[in-house]
Amino acid sequence: MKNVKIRKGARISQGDIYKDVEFIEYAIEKKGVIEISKITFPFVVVLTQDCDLSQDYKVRWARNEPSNHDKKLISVIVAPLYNVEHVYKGEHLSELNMSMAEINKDKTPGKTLRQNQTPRYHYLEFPSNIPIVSSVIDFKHYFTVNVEYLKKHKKKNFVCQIGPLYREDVSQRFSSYLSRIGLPDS
Amino acid sequence: MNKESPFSAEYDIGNSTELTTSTQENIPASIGQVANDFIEKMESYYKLSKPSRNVIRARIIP
Repeated sequence: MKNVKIRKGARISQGDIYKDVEFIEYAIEKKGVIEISKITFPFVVVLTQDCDLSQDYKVRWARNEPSNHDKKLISVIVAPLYNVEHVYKGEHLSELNMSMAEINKDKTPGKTLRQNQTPRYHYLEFPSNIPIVSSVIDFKHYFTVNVEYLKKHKKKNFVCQIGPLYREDVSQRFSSYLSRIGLPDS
Repeated sequence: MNKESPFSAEYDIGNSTELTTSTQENIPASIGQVANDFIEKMESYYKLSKPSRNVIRARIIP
């Protein structure tokens, strides 16, 4: 993939890639002690529809109070990017004490993955000026992030934006994966 | 002048060594530094490119 934008826009956009994004697993209070567990993802890609992000930005940061907040979002959908070499070995979540299925790099599963024929994953290669190794988006691991947190986070943690067509391809494959119909095992 | 193929073990690498030396002399030190920084950066990204968990506990002061 050579079509990557490195110019940072003011708002959150579909296809943006940010580094070090936190996901709050839980926050509980017990006997006067608050416990918060968070996972930090090295890289995530924004999957929310760009028109929704654009409308949210206009309403949220408008100088004049809008007549209603109909277009405001609650959160932004993102999905993590994993180092493809770790994915092949099933070790990409080892720091979370999770072992994943191995994918044989040199056989059909690996080739299918790199050709984006595996519905769950989207393989991306970046140009040399982008400091991200070849990676895989795992659509199963999508999560949501607070809009204002992400906008503030973007200032120092924006890496790049996947360019037109490529980001639509990611979005289309994500929606296709989510809308799959689970059939019972026969 | 070498009669051997450059890929042969008998090839006299005298000329090519000279060429390499002169090329190296023309590379400013700053470019080498930039390249090293880039490699270190890539390596650090590679090493740190796994999600990690952090649990924070804090006592509420009434």
